[in-house]
Amino acid sequence: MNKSTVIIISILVLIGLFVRLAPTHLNVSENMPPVITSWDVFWHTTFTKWIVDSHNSDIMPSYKTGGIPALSPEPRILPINSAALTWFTGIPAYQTAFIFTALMSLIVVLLIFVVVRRYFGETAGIITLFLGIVPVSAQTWFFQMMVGFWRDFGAMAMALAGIIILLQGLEAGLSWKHSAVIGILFSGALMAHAQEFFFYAPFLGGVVVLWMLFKKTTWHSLIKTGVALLIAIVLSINFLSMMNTSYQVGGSLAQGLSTLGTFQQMQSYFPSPSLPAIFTILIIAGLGISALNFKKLSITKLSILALWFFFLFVSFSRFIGLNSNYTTRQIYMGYALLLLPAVIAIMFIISLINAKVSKKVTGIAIIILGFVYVLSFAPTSYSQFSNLKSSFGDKAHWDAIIWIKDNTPKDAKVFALSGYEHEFYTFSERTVFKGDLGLQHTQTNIQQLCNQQIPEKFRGEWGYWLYNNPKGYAVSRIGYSDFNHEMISDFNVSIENDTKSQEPLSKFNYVLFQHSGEQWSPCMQWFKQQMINNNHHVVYENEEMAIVKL
Amino acid sequence: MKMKKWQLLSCKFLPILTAFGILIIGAFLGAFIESVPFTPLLSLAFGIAFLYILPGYSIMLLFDFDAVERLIIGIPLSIAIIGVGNSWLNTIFGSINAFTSVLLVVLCVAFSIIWQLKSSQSKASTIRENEHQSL
Repeated sequence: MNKSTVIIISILVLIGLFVRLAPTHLNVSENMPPVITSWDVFWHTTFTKWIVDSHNSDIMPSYKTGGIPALSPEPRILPINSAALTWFTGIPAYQTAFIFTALMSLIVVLLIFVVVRRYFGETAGIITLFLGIVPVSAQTWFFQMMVGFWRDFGAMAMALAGIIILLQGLEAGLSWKHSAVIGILFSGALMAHAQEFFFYAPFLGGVVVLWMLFKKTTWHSLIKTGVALLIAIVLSINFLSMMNTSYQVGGSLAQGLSTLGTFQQMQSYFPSPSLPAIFTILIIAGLGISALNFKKLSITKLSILALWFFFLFVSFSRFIGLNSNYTTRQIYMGYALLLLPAVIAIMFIISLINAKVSKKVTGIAIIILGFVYVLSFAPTSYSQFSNLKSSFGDKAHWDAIIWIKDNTPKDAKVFALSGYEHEFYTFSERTVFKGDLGLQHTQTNIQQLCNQQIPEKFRGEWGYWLYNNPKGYAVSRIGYSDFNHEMISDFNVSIENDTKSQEPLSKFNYVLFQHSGEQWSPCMQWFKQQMINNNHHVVYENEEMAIVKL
Repeated sequence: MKMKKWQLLSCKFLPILTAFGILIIGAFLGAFIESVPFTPLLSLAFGIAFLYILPGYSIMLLFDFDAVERLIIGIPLSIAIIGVGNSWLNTIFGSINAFTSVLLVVLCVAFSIIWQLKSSQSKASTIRENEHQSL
């Protein structure tokens, strides 16, 4: 590889880092989250913080489980890594978690670059890297970072790395060394996102079976691939056994299926996915058909066919009702893979231009078109970034969160009456009953206050999250494979899609609300006065937020 | 012979030094463009290189990939090693910390060096045997 290629790759990597991190106005010294993110990023951040503080990745923060010391069935590979970076650098966990997510986003693009470069050549590889890094692509990736799909990034990155090593092994002769490293990578993918990992299985199976059919590979390759999967399962068994148990807590395996069903509700997270998804599937289908017409059998052809099978499987899973959300999710996660058709199209155009004019003219034309491409999309991308940034980081909110963290007992129960769903319960490190100004249950509470009535019971949502667990149960390990299941006493599901509760104020030690700056402020002012009249104290107040001790 | 050794060393260490160099330039640019303090960015660059590049890259030296591929594939491998290793250490010893991560990195590098020395010795003995037979 020549020096100019190294320089181009280095510059693109630097641009990739910049595009992902600069719009967040990351401040590595501040002990608060850098940008607005969604639930997932908050949870990953808080889990990183919990591991950093407790030095334990196996158990849940007690404030997430109503004080019960419970095992965490959360995918822990990625928060462990960002916790390690936190310990190593001294940079706050709220920052390292986000930096790590940005890195993962970049790594997936870099891995696709490796695949394309290896099987389609240096130029195609650099075009892939360019397409994956410049703003229009980064915008799509940035959206995923905002939503917080770092476990998906992680699963995809580790699975892809494993598949690349497997392909190299099939070419050069698969050894036990390959099996061991692929096993480690796949165990990482399983522990980053087990459900996600199994969506890569058809791709993996496609590669191995096609190789066996067309290259007359011996059964040893199949056995060694099987051994790699076995190593992955053995390394992950400690985590996977707990996940299975958590499924069974509710008394039936059907609980697992219903958990999958809840993901369908997340469909609204994706911005208009249908048309791009259909378009992409058509391109992939066409690519697969064209691959069948290749005269010479090659690894390129096999990879394309395997890629085709992978997307066909994912696409048809929508129609067989396997999990419609995951179909879309995979299309987004597989975004970097989808760069391949675009790269092939560009390479085709370049070869056509090369046939007509000199290489020098082609090179200049490509550079000019590249600049036009970047400049066309950059303003749109950055306006989206800046909109995202403005939504979190309100100092008044953050000061209230910090006050709770610094001034209340660790087992205090806080009712976030007019908060936004995630921020208070995630960052205050207390057991929180969540309100959300954007959701009906909180608006019902506020409407009653506007009618000058204090509800007998307030509506809200317990800030517990036991990933893959039936709501309200905590799991602790008695022996290696023996688990104890305990109902969290506060969890009282009673209304609206099984996640909301109705609780009296007497259940809480503190109530936190926004008393000014919004149209419902008069209602909150009235509530505050009523609390004072009932001999409760306003223990904290700033220009927006107030906290009353009950 | 000395030249060959140096070439071998630079071939193995140059990619990782280049990656570290890119991270340092990134830290400089971050400090310059975004007005972020340089010292934490520098420790971040070092942390990323040590935790996420070094262990995976060391293991990837055992495989027949080129430098760029080793560096890039080595990152998810490092993440898997640090994550899976710490997860098991957590289950066995009840806690994890900076030391356990450093231990995993050192083990990976040591394993890679030992394996490479072993395989180069066996290669050398095979060459000697072949030479002996040809004589």
